[in-house]
Amino acid sequence: MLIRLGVYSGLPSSFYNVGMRFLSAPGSQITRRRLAALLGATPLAAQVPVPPVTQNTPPIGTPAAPRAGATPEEKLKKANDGVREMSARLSKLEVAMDTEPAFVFKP
Amino acid sequence: MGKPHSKLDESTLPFATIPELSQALRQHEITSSELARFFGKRLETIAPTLNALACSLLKRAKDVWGDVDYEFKRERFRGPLQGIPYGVKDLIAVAGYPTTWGAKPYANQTFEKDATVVDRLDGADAILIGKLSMIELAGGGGYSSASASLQGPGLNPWNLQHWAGGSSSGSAAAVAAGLVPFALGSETSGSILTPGCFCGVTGLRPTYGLVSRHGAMALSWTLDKLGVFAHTAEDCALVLHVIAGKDADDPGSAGKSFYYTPDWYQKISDLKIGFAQIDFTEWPDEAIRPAFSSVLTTVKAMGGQMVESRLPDFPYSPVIGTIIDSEAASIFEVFIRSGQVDGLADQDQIAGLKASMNYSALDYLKAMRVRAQIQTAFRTLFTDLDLLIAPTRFNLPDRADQPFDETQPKRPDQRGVGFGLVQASNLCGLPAITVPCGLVNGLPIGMQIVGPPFSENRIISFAREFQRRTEFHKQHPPPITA
Repeated sequence: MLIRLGVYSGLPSSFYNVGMRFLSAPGSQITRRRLAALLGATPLAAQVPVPPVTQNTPPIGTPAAPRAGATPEEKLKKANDGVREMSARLSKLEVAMDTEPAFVFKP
Repeated sequence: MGKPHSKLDESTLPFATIPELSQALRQHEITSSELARFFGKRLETIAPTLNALACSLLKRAKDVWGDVDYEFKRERFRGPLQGIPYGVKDLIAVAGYPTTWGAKPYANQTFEKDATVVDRLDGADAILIGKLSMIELAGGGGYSSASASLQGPGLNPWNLQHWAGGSSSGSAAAVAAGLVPFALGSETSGSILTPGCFCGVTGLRPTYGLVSRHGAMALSWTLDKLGVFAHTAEDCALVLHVIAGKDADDPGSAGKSFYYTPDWYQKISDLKIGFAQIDFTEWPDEAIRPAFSSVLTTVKAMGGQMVESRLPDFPYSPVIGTIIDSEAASIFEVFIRSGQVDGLADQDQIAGLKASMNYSALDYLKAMRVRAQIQTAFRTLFTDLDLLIAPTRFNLPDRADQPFDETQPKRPDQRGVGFGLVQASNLCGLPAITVPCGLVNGLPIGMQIVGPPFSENRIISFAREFQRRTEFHKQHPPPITA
């Protein structure tokens, strides 16, 4: 099963990466480290979250300025033009009728 | 910063190879807890100067290094990664810690399980000490500057005015600066090779499907790969040996393992190496041509059978662009439609993701059918060749504080192997390794070595021989102070 939500804050999720397996799932490996963590774990309700050390904010260095003269609308138009151009270039390519796409469906 | 008690001193320890560190641990010159604390302290203090740290995991490491010390104390050796600290790109899930994908809208995201690669490295007793910054959503949609990251522009340890490359910016920069002995990154199209090249480290992109992506962010199901940054090709091999293998949780898993067999390599003199002279003498920017010419001389002296070659003629860029954009549009559909996409840092990326919703099924399938033709052409190419080599990038890294330069430099009309190789080899799922091969104006350049599917031992063997004959991988950035 690919899609199962991780614990996360409010955003929709549709990513293969969140098909996180349970420890009890067939074939899963319990490492010594995981076992030690489980044995030593305090009940979830009793755990006090400690904020991890993360990147200092604000970041070091000067952020790059946006390209001059381009509004978000202009950027979107340019991106849409890019898609149309890609599509046009692809349409000009000849592919033999018996060429299947480069993926395989596995039942 | 605490000084470890080891023959490796404080100046050499940050850049020690995995075998060197492993030997120090086995000979009890240093303990795994001392090593993890040493690198962890460097990571916490220096990485923010590079905008390379997403999240320190020293607390997680602290929970386990006692066990690893105990094993070493009782002479229980479990392999070369035992007790070696490392970092992962922040798109790889580590249970209970933020996994931001480099993007503000996901800043508070956490997962309940570790990614398979983290599980495997845990099983080898490697010690995870940090999550490393990246370009937001691994650059899906296309980005216009180094600033497209929650952690800020990824700065190059060799020159903080320049970009570290992307999208695995933090992983490459952290290895280059000696903040971790190795780090995991990911590549959809260039995200390991580019930062590996720009930061002057060795970067290995395995064959598609060799390393499980379970627990990593998806950008393109048919293109995503996880790989390794380290100081040497051999270090990359030792890590790949552990992280490769079948995983039922990754639908793209090839069901194959990787066994590092350094004693069973083909002789270099038996290898047919495809290259193009113009890739080294005319295609690179003018400033770096002399360095690449010299690299080619070194490669020729290695004794392989050099075969002047040319990439099959396909429009690689629109094909891979259409596939990435179409798959990313599907993966991030809700994120885009809901307007959450507007929370990204890079306006070009926002526009690119929105526009990617406009691809038709016909476009995607056409691209995938052309991809099949490209695969066929590469299978034919590799019936006559064992490897392809080319400069990893024809340019030095862009400045970190300016939008990427969009002006196209003058390049020769004639094409060789290098132009399009990153896209082509990703489309075909081929393994590649980038090795540092020079410094120009204080910034690294790199050479890529590409082989047919599952030829990791071959490309690593070639890279290892190149590194045996050169010292580029032993050069390190000037000390960075926090």
